[in-house]
Amino acid sequence: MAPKQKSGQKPKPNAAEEVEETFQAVVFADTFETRFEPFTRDKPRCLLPLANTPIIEYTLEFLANAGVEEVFLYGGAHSDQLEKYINASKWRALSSPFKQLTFLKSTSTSVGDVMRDLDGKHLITGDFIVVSGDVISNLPIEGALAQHRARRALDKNAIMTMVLREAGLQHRTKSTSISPIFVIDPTKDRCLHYEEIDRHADEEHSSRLNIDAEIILKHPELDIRQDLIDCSIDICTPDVLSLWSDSFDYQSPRKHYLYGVLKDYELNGKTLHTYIVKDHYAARVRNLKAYDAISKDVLSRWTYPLCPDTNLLPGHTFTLRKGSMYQETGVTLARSCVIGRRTVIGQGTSIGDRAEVHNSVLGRNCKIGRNVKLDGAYIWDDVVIGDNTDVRGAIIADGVVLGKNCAVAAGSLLSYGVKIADNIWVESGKRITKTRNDGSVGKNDPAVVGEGGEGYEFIHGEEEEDEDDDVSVASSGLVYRMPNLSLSSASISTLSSEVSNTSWARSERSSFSADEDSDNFHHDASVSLFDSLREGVAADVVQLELVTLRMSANASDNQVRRAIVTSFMKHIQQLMEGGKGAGPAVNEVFTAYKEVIERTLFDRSKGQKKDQVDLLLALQQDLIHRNKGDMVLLFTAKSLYELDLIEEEAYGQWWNDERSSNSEEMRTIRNQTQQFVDWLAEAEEESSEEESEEESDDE
Amino acid sequence: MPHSVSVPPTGLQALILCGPGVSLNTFTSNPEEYPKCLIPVANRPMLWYALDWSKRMGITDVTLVTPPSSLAPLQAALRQNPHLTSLPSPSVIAPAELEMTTGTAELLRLPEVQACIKSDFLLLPCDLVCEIPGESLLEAWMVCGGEKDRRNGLSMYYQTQGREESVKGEATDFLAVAPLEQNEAPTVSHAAPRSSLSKLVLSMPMATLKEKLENDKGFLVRHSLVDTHAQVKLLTTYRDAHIYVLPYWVKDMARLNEQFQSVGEDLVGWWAKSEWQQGLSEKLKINEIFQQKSRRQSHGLTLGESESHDGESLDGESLEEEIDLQSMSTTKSTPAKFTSQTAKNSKSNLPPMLAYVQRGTAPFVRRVDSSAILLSTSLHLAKLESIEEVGRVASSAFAHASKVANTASIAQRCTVTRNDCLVDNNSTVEEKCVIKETIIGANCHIASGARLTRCLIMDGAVVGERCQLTGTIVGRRSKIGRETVLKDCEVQDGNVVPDETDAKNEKFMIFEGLDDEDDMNASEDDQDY
Repeated sequence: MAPKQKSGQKPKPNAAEEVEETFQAVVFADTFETRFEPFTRDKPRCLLPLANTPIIEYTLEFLANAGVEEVFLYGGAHSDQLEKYINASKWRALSSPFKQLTFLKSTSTSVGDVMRDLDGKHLITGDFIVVSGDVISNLPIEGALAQHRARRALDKNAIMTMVLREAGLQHRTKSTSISPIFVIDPTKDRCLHYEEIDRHADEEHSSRLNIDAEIILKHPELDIRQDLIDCSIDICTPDVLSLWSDSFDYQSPRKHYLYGVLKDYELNGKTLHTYIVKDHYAARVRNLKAYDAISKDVLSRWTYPLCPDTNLLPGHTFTLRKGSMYQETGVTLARSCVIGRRTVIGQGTSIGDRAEVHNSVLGRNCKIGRNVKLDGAYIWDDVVIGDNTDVRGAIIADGVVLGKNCAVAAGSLLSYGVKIADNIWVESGKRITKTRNDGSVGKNDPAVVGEGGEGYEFIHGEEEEDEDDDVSVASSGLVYRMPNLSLSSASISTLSSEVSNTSWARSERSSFSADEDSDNFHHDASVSLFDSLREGVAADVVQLELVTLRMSANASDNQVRRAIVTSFMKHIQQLMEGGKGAGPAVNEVFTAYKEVIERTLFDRSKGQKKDQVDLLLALQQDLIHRNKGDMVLLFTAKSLYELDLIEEEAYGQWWNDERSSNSEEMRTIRNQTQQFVDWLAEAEEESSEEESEEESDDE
Repeated sequence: MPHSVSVPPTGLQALILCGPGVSLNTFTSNPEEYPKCLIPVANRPMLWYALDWSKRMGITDVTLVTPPSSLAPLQAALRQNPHLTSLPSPSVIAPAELEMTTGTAELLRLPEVQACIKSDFLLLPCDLVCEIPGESLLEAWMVCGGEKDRRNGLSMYYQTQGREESVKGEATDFLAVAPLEQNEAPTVSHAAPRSSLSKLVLSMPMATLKEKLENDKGFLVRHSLVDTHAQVKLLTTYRDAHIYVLPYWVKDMARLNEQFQSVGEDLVGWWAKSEWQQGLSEKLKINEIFQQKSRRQSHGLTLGESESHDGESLDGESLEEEIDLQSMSTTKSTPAKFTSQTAKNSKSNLPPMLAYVQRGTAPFVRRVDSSAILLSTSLHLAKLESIEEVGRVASSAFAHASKVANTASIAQRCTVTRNDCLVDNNSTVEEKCVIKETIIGANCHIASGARLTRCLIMDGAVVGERCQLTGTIVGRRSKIGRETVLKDCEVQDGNVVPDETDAKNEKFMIFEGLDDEDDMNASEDDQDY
């Protein structure tokens, strides 16, 4: 990380521009999101196979076609695996189209950190292209590049060109949870405003976009576009990096950077532009739903020449047959099996008698038993599927063994090495994994995988040692975790409305579980608070800082409370991981920072304890996704009561508030606290104290 | 007149609103005598352009709506003015309650006007100068017309900036349009207007928008708008031409919504909004209208066509009964209809308001509602080649028979640049005058040695010796004293400018308690006629 690094000592881009410059590219192998869990516990996301080819291959191929000569590849989680893969790949060979392919490791936890790191390293000499390691595109970049350079020659401040693909109102590769809205001046292709509509936002968010009056009045023509697929291919000048460095709190390239730079146009004077593509293919494998959609596109040859029969990987021998059937040599098919349209079958795979395969991708060396039915299944390498088993719309990772007479319903994910015993029915949307977050093997759950099976059901964020190994989970916690909360209220409605469009229930779920929904204030405030807590800054200083932030962002009390809750809980979690019990940890933090909380509650004297209830709700929501959330909630409730921060009536109101019990998670998390609330109601001190002591012993 | 092409009846009627013309107050100070619609634009009464336009597109049923106070001069002009008598004479109604300040939507609610609307109708202002052939506009509307009884509406917008005749500070409107979906857009596109059709989703005058921006601290866009329309274009330099093709059911909509003031801002604006904003069409009672209609229709069918009343079987309507243009079109794919229907069912079943947005500067469209535009438009029209020069076929619809009328007398030793000047009947120009880019009305007298540049001299005016007038409008029967120098001035009708005056940017008006009236009118905006 190199915060506040000035762009002064950079090699002069101007001089380089006139000379023949090397075209550089930066690839984020990790986008710091958790949308591909549980697969990403074993492998980095960009090595997951899509139509039997690792996703990163498509991206590198795209860059090679674009004429990129130097590539900087930023690894994130599992970077060792990625490095090994890259070193063995054709990109390192003498015939590689890249003059240089540099693998950079960093401890970055967000795209913003990577960019600042890059700026610090002074590797970029001229215009460069930024892509995430999951872009699949056959777009020739020349047009966009030429436009970018022409614009740049005229105006030094045109620092970035985003390549966007036009699609209709509905498109299968579009993200359903967040719609990006671009406001563009079509006469200059200039992006003037960017906003994201979060489909799962809670009521508090206004249902309106807010475009600056200036923008409306100064531009005679504006387009508000919701039909653009943001495939995150950006052509940048080195100035882009220095802007990242100037704003050390920007994390995501769109929500923070694009939004922020556009908002601060008056200050920085930089303009960002768009290049809208109407033909050619460009998409990001941003979540499992997109994985499904893009796989279908690849099989239907929309991405030509990036199709299986192009054999991107050395050793692949796919050939195309009628009806979008791709097969490698060395496939063993039983005489009576039926292979339908849009299928891919890898080398060494055998398919048994009377098996039926439709719309599916099969990796190498799979053994498909007799009478098996596969429809819309993505089966990776070395999978064994027993006789009479039925798989529909599921992803089955390497080395999975499925027993006989099983059924895997749509939307299920079976991660690496899972074994399912005979006669098991895997419910729709179930995610089964073997590996835990820390890489160790979890305990088998016979209820899920059957007697003799291996694996257990994966629930987002269920692990106890939920830290550090998987960078994508832990690091993004502050920014990306908050939105998970909205899952509770919104998930039901969206599921039902969208299942009708597609049977892929799981993909919706996975896509919004990692929604990016925190406004700037929330992010800034919670980061700063968290840092202060960790460093043990005095309460009045913390308070002052918070007030300043609040004033500058004009944040509501509710936002302030949310920020406090997020940072406090994160800190408590850390203390607990450091070996502290939940009770003492909670007590310590809340006693020390009592006044910070006190200043956010204004309803002491009122009958309706709105603020206090709101705080409790925020706590409850935050804790859903934390380790031992239920326990922490109990202790927090107790501690808040003892510190006289929250009054008895407020607890009652909170408990009866329907928001606190409107979803399964919310109910589960507050189960433990039931006793405390009951006790308050009855005011019987002794019995409850015993109970709570029991609880703390449990740890 | 030229272009007397015979066109089949369109089944539409036109309403031309002849109002007081607040923004042209120098020349309409006394609407009882001389209403706005009679002000000459390039030596023809303003009204002529609207009437001629409707005639050329084949609309024969034209009604002028005017306040009772202006009825007499209007009727007199229709009988006497040589330009107006050459056109088929329209009927005139003067609703008793119509005042100078009545809004246009209020006007539609008046019983006289309600009774007069018998079919789909075209609403025109009297100050319209439009070169776009009306028939292609109508054609576009018919192709995208929607189902019978729930036809779409159409309004037109033109660019105000980047033209040679652009005027500083010209009023503009704010509009947002969304492209037609593929199955809605007409597949034939040889005529220009059709390709530029889009759906109107927001429309308001810029003044209203600025107020809104102030109040909301920014421009707020409802999510439902971007959810319904993936691509929304916001335009701020266009002007509503106030040409509305409105279906018959709008008559009921106007009647039921007492809160509507003007057609442009309220009726069309709300209609455009209700296309995507949920529950709005309910509020505007549009659903009610359609339900009633279908009920009445089924009723009418059982009783026989002749018994259905209330104008449904009258002239235009009966024609349309048999012809469903959409189903006859061979270029439209049939599945499109199903999808559009299902899509509509899920929405509020509301026909959209279409917008024809005229890009670029040609052909010429303008509303003449301020003195500056009056001058620039007149000068623009004066540049058109006359019929005399290029022949009837090649000339523009607005071309005069000749630049200098045969009866005008122009002295030998003076300069009149013929390609950008017009001189009407019986005017005299004396010796040593230099006249450039100027329009001289009938019976004017320009004394010797006068220099006129970019001027508009209305009928019967007298310009004294050695005057120098630049960018000046001289009203009817006014007199400019000798050796006067005027730049960018306006001289009111019948006014006398003393000798040797030197003025710039001034209005020569008589003070006779006009100010009161001004204030009253000024509080209304220029939507009123």
